[in-house]
Amino acid sequence: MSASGTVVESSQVPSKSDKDSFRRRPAASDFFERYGLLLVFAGTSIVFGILRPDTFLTYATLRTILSTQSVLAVAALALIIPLIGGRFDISVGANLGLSSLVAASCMQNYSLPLIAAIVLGIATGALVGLVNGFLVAYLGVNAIISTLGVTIVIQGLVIAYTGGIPVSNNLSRTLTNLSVTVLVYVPALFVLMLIVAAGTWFLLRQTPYGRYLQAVGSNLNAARLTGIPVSRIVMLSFVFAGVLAGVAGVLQIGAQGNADPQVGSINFILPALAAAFLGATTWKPGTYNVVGTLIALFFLSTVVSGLSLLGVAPWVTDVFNGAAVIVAITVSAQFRRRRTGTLDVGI
Amino acid sequence: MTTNGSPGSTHVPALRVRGVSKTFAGVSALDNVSFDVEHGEIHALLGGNGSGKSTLIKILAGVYQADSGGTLEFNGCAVPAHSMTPAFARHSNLRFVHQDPGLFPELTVADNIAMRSGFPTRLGRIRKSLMDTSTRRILESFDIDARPGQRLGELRPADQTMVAIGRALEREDDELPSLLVLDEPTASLPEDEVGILLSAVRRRAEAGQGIIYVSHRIDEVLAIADTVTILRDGRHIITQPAKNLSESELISHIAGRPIDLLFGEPAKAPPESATVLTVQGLRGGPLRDVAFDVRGGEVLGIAGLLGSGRTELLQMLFGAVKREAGSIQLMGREFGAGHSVRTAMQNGVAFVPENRSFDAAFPDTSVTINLSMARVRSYSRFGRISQRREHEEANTAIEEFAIRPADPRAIFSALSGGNQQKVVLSRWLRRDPALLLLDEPTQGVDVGARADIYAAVRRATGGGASVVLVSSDMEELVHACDRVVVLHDGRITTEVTKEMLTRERLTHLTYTGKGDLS
Repeated sequence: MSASGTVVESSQVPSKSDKDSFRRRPAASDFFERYGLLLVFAGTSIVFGILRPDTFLTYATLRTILSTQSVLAVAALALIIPLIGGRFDISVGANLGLSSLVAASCMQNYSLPLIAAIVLGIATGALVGLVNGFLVAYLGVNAIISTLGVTIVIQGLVIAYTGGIPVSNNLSRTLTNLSVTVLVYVPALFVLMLIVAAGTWFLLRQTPYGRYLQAVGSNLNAARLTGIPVSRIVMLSFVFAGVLAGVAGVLQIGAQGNADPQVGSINFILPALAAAFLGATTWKPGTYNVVGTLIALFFLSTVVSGLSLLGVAPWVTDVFNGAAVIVAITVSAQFRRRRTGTLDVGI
Repeated sequence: MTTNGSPGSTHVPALRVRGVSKTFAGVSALDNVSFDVEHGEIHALLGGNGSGKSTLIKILAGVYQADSGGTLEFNGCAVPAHSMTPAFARHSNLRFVHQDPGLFPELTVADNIAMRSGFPTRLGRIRKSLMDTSTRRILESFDIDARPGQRLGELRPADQTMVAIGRALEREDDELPSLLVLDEPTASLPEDEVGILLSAVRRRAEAGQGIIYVSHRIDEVLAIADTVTILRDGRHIITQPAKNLSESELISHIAGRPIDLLFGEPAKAPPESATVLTVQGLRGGPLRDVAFDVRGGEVLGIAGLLGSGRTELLQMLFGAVKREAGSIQLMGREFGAGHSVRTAMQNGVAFVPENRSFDAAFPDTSVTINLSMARVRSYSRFGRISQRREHEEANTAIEEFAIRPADPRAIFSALSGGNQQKVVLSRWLRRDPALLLLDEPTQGVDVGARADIYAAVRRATGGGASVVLVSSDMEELVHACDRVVVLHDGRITTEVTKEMLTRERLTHLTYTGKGDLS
């Protein structure tokens, strides 16, 4: 029964003789699928620009968006790595908060130099990633449940350690001034984020590791029978996510000027989550990709900042970001169906 | 009764297809196809992957709407082919059993039947006795040896398929449906079960049921069909009584070219070459003390029924399943206790698994990625993949294996079964394996693609590679192999050399598990 019954003949594919007819669909719809979000992005910017010409279309607004969203951009990149392997790391937000507290505490409580604080902050993120990866890849635990558990544990430990009070004394000026540092009109945080993004892009698109991760996400059995060390690949995806969460944690100190135990809540990380899924609907539709994720994140934050300039109530932001997650997942499921011809029941 | 419909001039066929065409985005998938299916006739519908036969069946089912102009006539009741709907198909009493018949092996026979016909309830509670009664009625009328409360998975495979057919044909009023369409019903059946299913299908036809029978297996079609219709590239090629057609005629009609060497050219002189693989005392799973060897350039066939341990044997050689005891030596090197897929691959073993969609496909990625996955590292320098080189090699493979579409960026799942299989085979041949393990490599693959696949396998053996081939198609084993060993209940019971290979002998040895004919 099970044998080869499932795929075999997909009859939409016409005869073998006409090669050119296989261009999957007309170029125009391909174009809109790939760049549709960019067009929407441009459109909304124009609308906000018309509605609030004095405040929205200014260098100050651009700089604010670029520097405040860069931390979330790194967090969104952390999310897509395990997602490509078919797994979801919920703990990225909590891990980000924890890493930033560790880095800040190293400076405030132990007077360690900045470099040591950065290294320890990132190492904390990596360690949490290692725990996640071990649970998922070697103990076979469902990723969402195990990273949810890790999230709750981290949040509890953070409250125990800080008592809910931000760590803000004796921090390195270089770091805390990052939010106002500008390199030739471009915010330093944004530049740092672009460097991280380039590295992530290289890892995912240019290295054998990225290819193996894609194989694992596409078909775990087939990956195993192709000699790919699937457990190690999955575990590493969580470690990489942890490292990026750690980097984001350190950058968060720069963006906010302190390490806040409030950071890492679901609401904080929600835009990154939305961007990861929305990013899979653009640039390389149907796959989680770095460029799409960045476009999506800056699109969402532009809309949020435009809305706040229009004076909407703060709760609108949460509703918008939550709705964006749902819309993004729905749209990417549809794109996936167009690519592969099947629409799965959600799990 | 069996071969002739009623001859009179006013007779009404079970199905009349007239001038049916279908284009997808300007590409013709079906071009002005016409033929009749009589009552009580088994009408084979043949064609390669992409010939349009699946499109035609989907039009009959109302899943696709044909281009306007064509007509379908069910038992005298005509409809324009472009206005066919699933509801009308059901109303016209067309019944379909698809290749994957949607059975639940974990549930009971009665549950499986009720899953389609509906659960009889009273006040929301399932009326089990009523269900059992109607199930028993179906089991009896289809001669299925089973009880309603039995788990479906316990039935032999042919009976499971019969349950699917039985539940499709079931009718309250006990009248015959106008037409039954069977789409590759034997694709996943072992050979001994095929005969059982075919005779059951035969009995339905003798009772007056018109049947469209879709299959890739030529021998099976010649054994069962009264009439044969062949489609190629969306066009109707012939409709003829099966008894007027020979196997080679059928194949050349399907492929559009004569295929003399359907299974590749046999190796010139394999016996001279050295032994490459030696297996001794292999145990584990169903296998008990399996021993054999393979020489360089040789294709060794493994004949065995489902459950004989044939698949486990290949998986064990590949390191995907752990063995309990025994030794595996490849080119004098022993695979020790740490034998894994990795070590097997490092030592030149390649494995094309039976279940492509589960064990080999990366469905949502490109053909290029699917092709290069078994040797990604060979494209990388300083940790970076050279996508240009990867792309070039993908184009070479597409050309060499005639993969369609000829687009390295095409998504794997959009390819037809035959083309997917070529991609998977090419993935492994790219590693220049010393030992190639093939598990049912041409299942669900049309004759043209099959010829391409065996040509590629023979090129590899010509270069010194050895092949172990598992197949339930005896014809394939006879033609493709230099030597065949028979696996029965986990033991190798006999070995048949090239000159002794016949289909009858292999079939006999496989089912009986006897040492040899006598």
